[in-house]
Amino acid sequence: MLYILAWRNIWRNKRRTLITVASIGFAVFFASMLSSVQEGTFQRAIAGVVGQSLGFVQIHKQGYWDERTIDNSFAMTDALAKAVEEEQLGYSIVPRLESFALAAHGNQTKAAMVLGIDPEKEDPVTQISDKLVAGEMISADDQGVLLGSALADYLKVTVGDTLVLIGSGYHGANAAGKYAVKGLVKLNSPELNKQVLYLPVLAAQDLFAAYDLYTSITVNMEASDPIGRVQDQLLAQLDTSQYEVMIWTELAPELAGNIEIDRQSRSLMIFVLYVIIGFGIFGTFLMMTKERSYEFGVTIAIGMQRGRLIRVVLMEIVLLAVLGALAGALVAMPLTGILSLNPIPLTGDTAQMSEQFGQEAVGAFAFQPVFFLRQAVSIIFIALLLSIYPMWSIYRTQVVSAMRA
Amino acid sequence: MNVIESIGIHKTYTETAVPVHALRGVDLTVTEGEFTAIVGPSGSGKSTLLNIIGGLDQPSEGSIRVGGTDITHMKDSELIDFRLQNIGFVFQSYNLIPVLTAKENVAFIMLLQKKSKEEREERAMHLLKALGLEGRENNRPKELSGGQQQRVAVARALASKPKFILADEPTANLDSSSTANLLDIMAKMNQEEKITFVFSTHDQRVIDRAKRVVTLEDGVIKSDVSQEKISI
Repeated sequence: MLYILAWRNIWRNKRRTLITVASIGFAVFFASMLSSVQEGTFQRAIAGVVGQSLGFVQIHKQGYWDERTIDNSFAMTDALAKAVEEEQLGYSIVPRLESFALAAHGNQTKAAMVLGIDPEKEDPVTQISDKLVAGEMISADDQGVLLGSALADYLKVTVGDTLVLIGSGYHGANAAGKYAVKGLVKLNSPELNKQVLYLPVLAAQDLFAAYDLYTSITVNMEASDPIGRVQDQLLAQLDTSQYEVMIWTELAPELAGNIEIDRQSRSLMIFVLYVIIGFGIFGTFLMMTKERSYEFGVTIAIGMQRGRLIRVVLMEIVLLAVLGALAGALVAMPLTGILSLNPIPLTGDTAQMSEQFGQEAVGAFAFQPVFFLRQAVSIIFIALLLSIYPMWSIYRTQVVSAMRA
Repeated sequence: MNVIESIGIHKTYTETAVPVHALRGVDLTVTEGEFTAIVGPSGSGKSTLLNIIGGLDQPSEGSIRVGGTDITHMKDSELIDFRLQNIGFVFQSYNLIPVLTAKENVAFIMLLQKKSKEEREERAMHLLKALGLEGRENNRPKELSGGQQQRVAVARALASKPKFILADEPTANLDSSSTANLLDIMAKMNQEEKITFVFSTHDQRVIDRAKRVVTLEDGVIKSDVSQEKISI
């Protein structure tokens, strides 16, 4: 009966309850949408920059990341090969040879990032074949290249054209070669799309005279995998005077830093929102308590222990918070679900700004139950925190004074 | 058997600039089966005495025993339990829980006493029937007249099987016919089931029906008169 009593009590003043539930619902909805769009944008940025290029964990020769030249490449020794065995590590690896070269076609020349890849191993990580917009995928023994579509536009090349690469190879060797353009890819990161060029790793080793050498080994992981644990495992097994093992936040500290700052800003914004909503909720609790102080006095007078009365009022408060949180989550969940599957294309200045920051010009949303759960838990926690006042008020109720009021 | 024994009760309110002596040495004994009205002008100390007898307030001096138990210095939680098990209350403004039906209001006090659902339902229906509220059990207080609400309040007070019922101005908000009806019911309960009633009242109709009339003035008992018999 106490549950029934609590449920009926919250509907004594329907309008006030609906306004309170709506304001809690709005806070949960707004905070969930904000989390969804921000995390969606982060996921896109991470997928674009980390997933399609860096990978979440990389092994290099010690010092390579500070001085990224092909001279800091390394061979796959037996010890290294053992440490990165898939059975041992739990994840496959993707070896790469990365350097820079001038790419030329006709009168057009541009510095390009040359990524020597093993197409079979690379594709599951960066899904290059999915991004093909023209031509076909390169194979391990090809002498062909894949170009970012924006780079191809700049160089005015298309599938079947020949591209000249000139640069500096391992320990100052000349690097020059001619390669057929086998395909064009459109990468999510506009910045990468303007400068990336993929070569089969054997052809890249040949071009840079870096035979059997690699500049990095990327571990094939997802953002949700235990990145830190794998880093620790590799650091424990490898000779750290020879190798460095870096995770994506170290490889792209600006991106990780920006994400962290944005998350902090969001937390602050949500905190301010909850403070404002908190005042509204507190107003409701205050009225609920004040207008029933006479009734509380009578209820205690006839024999209801204060603890039991507090439990009923606490149930009312939790019910209000849960109803509000449910209302907000029920609107936000399907909306973010739909938007996560259908990103909103950005146009105009917003689109330009996104591209300037090397991000795809779409409003991306992420869908994770934790967004809604976190907001629901937060709002229930706030309600419980604010319930201290009514609890204290009931605990201090003087029966005779309350009944005289 | 003495149901209430108050010995040398003083009550002084010190919250005001000048201390107010609401009760100045009240000795009152109520035995089982009495139908007693405490009367007196406003400010005479009726409500204060009723609050102290009911364990809602504590005397500044003196002691109070209910059913042989000294409740003068009981802790708050012990007093609440004591009231629940021993005292039934009827208030001037009915004070039913507005979101509960008549039956639920009556059953509520038995829920606090941890009675089984079957017992709660059965006794609530029995009492409502006895008080002429059959057919109104599923109505909420706002759907009942003042007289009907006060009868539900009496049923609630009786539901806990108390040693006595304290009624503070129970007829103050009722019309003549509702007052007569309520008094008939309470007098019948008193005569047939030996339930002790103690009223504070200004209402002559209640005074006329009381077996004993205690008059308070300026915090002291001015007179204590037993009347021959009450009419039903």
